[in-house]
Amino acid sequence: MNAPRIVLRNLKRRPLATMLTTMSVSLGVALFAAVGNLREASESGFQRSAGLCDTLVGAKGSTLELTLNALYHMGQSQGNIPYSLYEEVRATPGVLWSVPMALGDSYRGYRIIGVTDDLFGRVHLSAAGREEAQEGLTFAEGKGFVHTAGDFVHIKEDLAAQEAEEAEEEAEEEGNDHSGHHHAHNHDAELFQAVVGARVAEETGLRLGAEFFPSHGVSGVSEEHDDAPATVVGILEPTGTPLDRAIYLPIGAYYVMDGHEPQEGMVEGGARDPRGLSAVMLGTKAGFYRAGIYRNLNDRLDAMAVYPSVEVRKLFEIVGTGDLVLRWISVLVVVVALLGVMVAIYNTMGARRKEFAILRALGARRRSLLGLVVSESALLGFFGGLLGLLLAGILVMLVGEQVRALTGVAVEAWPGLPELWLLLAVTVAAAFAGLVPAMAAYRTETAHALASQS
Amino acid sequence: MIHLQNLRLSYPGPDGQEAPVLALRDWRAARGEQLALVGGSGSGKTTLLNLISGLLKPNQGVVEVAGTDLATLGEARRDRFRAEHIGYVFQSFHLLDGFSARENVELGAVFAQGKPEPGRAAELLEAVGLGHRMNYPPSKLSVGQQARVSLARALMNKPEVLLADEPTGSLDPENAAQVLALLRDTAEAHNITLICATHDREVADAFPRCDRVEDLA
Ligand SMILES: Nc1ncnc2c1ncn2[C@@H]1O[C@H](COP(=O)(O)OP(=O)(O)OP(=O)(O)O)[C@@H](O)[C@H]1O
Ligand SMILES: [Mg+2]
Repeated sequence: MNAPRIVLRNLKRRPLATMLTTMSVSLGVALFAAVGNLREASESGFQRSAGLCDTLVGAKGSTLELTLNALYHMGQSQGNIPYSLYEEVRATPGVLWSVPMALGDSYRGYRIIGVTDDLFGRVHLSAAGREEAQEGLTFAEGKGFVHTAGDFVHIKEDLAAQEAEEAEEEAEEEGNDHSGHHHAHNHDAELFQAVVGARVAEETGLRLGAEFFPSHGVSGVSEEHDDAPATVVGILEPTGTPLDRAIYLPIGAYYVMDGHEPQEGMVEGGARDPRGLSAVMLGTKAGFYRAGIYRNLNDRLDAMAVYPSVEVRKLFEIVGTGDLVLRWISVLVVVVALLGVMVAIYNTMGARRKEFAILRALGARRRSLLGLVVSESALLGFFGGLLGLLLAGILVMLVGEQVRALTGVAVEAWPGLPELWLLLAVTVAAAFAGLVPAMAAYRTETAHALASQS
Repeated sequence: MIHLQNLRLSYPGPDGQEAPVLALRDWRAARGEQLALVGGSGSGKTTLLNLISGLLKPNQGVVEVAGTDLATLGEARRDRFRAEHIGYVFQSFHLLDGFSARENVELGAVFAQGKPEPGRAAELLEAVGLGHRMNYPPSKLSVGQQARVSLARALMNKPEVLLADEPTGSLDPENAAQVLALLRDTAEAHNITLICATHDREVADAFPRCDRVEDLA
């Protein structure tokens, strides 16, 4: 027998009160820890994905929506930027690399994105939990398709020439039927090679060499491009970013696929330009160049540039205000729970008066009794805190899995120093709550209590 | 061993006036001596034991126990002193529910300095004839068995003074005789000074010395 065992035994003697108070503390702690962890973990997860490129160019509109649409595959495209802009940007000093993006097709709910092969070689991805970024992507199976910026430009020039020809023909043979003309150019097999993200491969069962038909539109069931099956040539390693949930095709393929060619009534050059691009990812020289590129692009009327990491930070600042409210609520829950601990222990004091007196007769000091009761309370706080952190961990895991399923962003939270501090804070707060009943124990008049029957 | 001198203790009465409870001129008990304290109800027997154990502090006078004047010590020091030098057996034994017989005995050493020898609690329980009931809670022990556990607990710290307040008060005559014999034999075996407050003439008669509290003033 020793003092800690006396404390434990006293808690064990009141299993119901001990369980209930521990649980009430744990709920508050779980809420507090989960809210904070989730926000931090998802922010760092989103920041990691935002770090793929330093600058993003897209149609004028909401900067946040552009970021979410282009990098996280959420929401709808706000429109296109002219193809010419891509060529301009590519030639701008300070631009280290650029990946044009065409969005709009999907396969079984996973978005198909037209890109050049710079995506595989040049984007930056920091290992989860580490700061320094690795350049380029790694493949679990197969390899990336080859589709350079030059290839893309070539296809665009061919298409432009072809269109001009057709327009001429049209002018000559007025009223004649030209349906089927667009099928004219041969679908180069190389153009219909696909690289799929880890999650896509897992969920759809697309393996190396598998063929599939992209469908038009990004949501739900829509018509398939049954003329253009794509073959899987590479499967990416899991990245914990939206890359895992995407399918990549050479961007040139986008423009030769049926249903993407210009139709009557479409305006060239504007945000609806069917020949345009959804967005361009840029890697730029940090500092002076980057700021200049950003400014020049934002001076234009037909495009804008955003820093994805800034957008993500702004997004989480907004989220953060809601999160603060939740945190205060959880603090209140903890405070109320600790008051419960205090009352629960206080209620036992009358019945334990005799017991305290006996301990005094056995040589316990008043301070020892104070310590026993404060320890009981602190231990309830500690257990509650521990259980709460466990609950928070489970909650973060579940919600994180949900976020990952929706966005591909890996939300991972490991208990660290903040959790230790939280546990310590709850334990200390519980000890203080225990001071109230402990004072009653402290003041027990021994001789009197020993003499009283009961 | 124990020397009380010019002792005076009073409580504030209901009317606010100090009501004297106990007054002693000069009272001694030698090491290993066994004596009974008798006196009418309310005469101050329990109070005297509480003074010797340091649970109470006199308003004036000297309470010298084992060479220490408890009247000059602060409460915490008296608590420590009690833990190390004094064993206490109560009328209703005051065992703690929720702790087994053995744990109750071990509790006797928790607040003293230093660790008790391992197995001491078990030895003491064997010695009082309860080796087979060590893991029983007090509520499952007979009253006589509770008295024995209480004695074992009082002996845990190898006290020099054993105080017993009506130790036989809640026992039938047969059990009372057994417990009393056990108390006296144990005290004798370990050369412990035994002071036993009692109402019971028969109990008092068993002791070689018997003091009436009323006569000590
Ligand atoms: N806390 C207290 N406040 C005021 N008076 C007290 C207090 N405790 C005891 N007394 C008084 O002290 C006197 C002695 O009490 P004590 O308990 O020592 O008597 P006792 O001889 O042990 O009696 P009994 O034989 O009934 O156990 C009593 O008159 C009692 O009223
Ligand atoms: Mg009494």
